[in-house]
Amino acid sequence: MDKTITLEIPLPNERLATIAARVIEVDKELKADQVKRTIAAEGNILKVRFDCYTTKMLRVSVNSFLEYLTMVTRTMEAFQ
Amino acid sequence: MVIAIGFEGSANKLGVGIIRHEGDQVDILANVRDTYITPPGQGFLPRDTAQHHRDCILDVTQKALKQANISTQDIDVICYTKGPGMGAPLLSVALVARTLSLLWNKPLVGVNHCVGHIEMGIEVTKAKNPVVLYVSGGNTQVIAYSQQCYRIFGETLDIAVGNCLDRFARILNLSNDPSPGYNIEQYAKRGKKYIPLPYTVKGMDVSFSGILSHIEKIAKEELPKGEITPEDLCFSLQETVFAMLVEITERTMAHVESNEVLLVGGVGCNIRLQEMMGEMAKQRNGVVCATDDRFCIDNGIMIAHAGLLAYKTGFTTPLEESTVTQRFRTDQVKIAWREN
Repeated sequence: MDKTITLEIPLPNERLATIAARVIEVDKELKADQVKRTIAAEGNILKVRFDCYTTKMLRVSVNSFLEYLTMVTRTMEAFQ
Repeated sequence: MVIAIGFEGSANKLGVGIIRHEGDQVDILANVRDTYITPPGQGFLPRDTAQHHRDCILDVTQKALKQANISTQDIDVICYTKGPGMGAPLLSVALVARTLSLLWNKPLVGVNHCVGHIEMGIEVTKAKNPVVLYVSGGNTQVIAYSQQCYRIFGETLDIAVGNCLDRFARILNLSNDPSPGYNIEQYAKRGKKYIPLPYTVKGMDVSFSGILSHIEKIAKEELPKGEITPEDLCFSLQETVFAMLVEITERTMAHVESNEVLLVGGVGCNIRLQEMMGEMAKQRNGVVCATDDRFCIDNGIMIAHAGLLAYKTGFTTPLEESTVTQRFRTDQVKIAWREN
């Protein structure tokens, strides 16, 4: 898996970063044999690493993750 | 006193409901819904449906909390549809339920969509021990309760009856607002000529794909000739598929010796189906129980209710297990809140 990307997303605090990591971690990647995703909260930073075989797969996975993260952060903003 | 909030979004309807159990008393505090409606001739696709749900779920939740006139602290448990349903919409809703579970520090309960319909139907109609006909766009099952399990006595072998109706509405280019099934129902009332269609009951099971193909062929070949009308076809389709549903329901009633029928699911709203089922039940000295569109159609309150029943028996879903599944059989759920 030579196509790789690491995202670092700052959240307002450590608690919210931990919540985001735990919520999104529940669902495995649909194509686990082609995509490896690692999520960790380090302080208030949400760190996500993707390893894929193809650029297309990388794009699909990252887009999907960002959609989920947006839903989580919007929920936090509405009900924090 | 226990209060649950329920999130439902397994198909094109996004619903949030809030329910309170106080002893045996059940109070519906809020039941808000937003339906994703596509243009005539089109069905809803998972990706677009999920986007619709993500766009409106927070507003619907706020409306539900306001309607219930409670604060988030008052909620004891958060319930969501674990399945069955469309993958992306289910997941979008589960993300919100999980996030709120951690934000508010409340337990989570994953609910089976079919069990939600059944429990809400039983609660609203007060049916004692009915044969349940669960009919919607995604499911067609005849169910009876036995030994802590909702057992499937008969079901569709291919597409759901609601799927058949919805796809026929697409063929005729009927509006999807408020729902294609409702619009077929209105057309059928004006139908005058019955056109024979395949009658495909298979013991306790049914099959609808052949009927859909056959009536699609008739629509394309015969309608242009002007001898029959779209209204006639809608009338004929309803008479055929509903008679099939009545037959398998009656067979189950005879088998389990019940004299009650409970209609649940979106197609259960159909007055003609209720009439036909009522005639059969009357002949057997039985009764038909049905709810109106507040509860027949997918809603959040049914998830809150079924989730709360499970929660009160001690059931919760750990966060690590709070996934969704597109296939979740009705009989996979242990009905711990009912005895015997």
